[in-house]
Amino acid sequence: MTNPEPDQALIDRARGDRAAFGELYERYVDRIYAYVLYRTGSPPDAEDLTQRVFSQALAALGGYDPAGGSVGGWLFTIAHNLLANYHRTRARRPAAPLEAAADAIDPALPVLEGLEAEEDARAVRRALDRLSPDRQHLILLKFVVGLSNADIGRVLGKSEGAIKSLLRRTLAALRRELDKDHAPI
Amino acid sequence: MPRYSRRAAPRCELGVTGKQVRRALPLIPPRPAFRAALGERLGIGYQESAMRAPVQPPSPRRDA
Repeated sequence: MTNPEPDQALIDRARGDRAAFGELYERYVDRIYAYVLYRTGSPPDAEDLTQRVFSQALAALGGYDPAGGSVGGWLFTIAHNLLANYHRTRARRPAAPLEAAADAIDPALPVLEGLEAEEDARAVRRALDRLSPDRQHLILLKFVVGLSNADIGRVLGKSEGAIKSLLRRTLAALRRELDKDHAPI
Repeated sequence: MPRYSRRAAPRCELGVTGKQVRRALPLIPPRPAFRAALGERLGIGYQESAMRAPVQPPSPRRDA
């Protein structure tokens, strides 16, 4: 089994060979789409923004600088900036984008097994929806998208150490929100 | 010492884990038709591989 070509090598090759960009697209399109879907709560808007992310990335291949972070961090920074514009042009953010996005899951996909697992997942989503948008964003980048703390720092304009600390505080806040739903009898 | 319901007890004792969050927020893939159409629009030679089955959300079921 051969190792997959590193992202950086694909970027280098993509400058002269669009098929190499196709490999990057395949690697990242699901995570980019999920990220923008959870931030907008709207599948049509998520498709539109996903298209813009990859169009911008393709147009900006020459400007990618590996010293600034990984290819994934670069792509999610593009998505983050597009989302910032998206939210600026709307009066307000959706009240519960995480729950709305989760409702968009194709019902044919056996995502969760059993009623209890589904109830637990809903409880976590409700608790997440009560966190600040910044904290929800952090959780998305870390646990849904799977970015490293360094790449999250690049997207959010913070240091790696600051992200580590923020994550710890955010998980603690999430735990407190869940505990409110499961108050002592 | 407060008492918790049976299901809530582990969460209260152990806190929220990445696994719990990933189960609550699975990786939702785009529609295969959208994925293929975008690949074609970008001109990146993606349309053939786009016909594969959609990617399943990895973590929730693996963790179950």
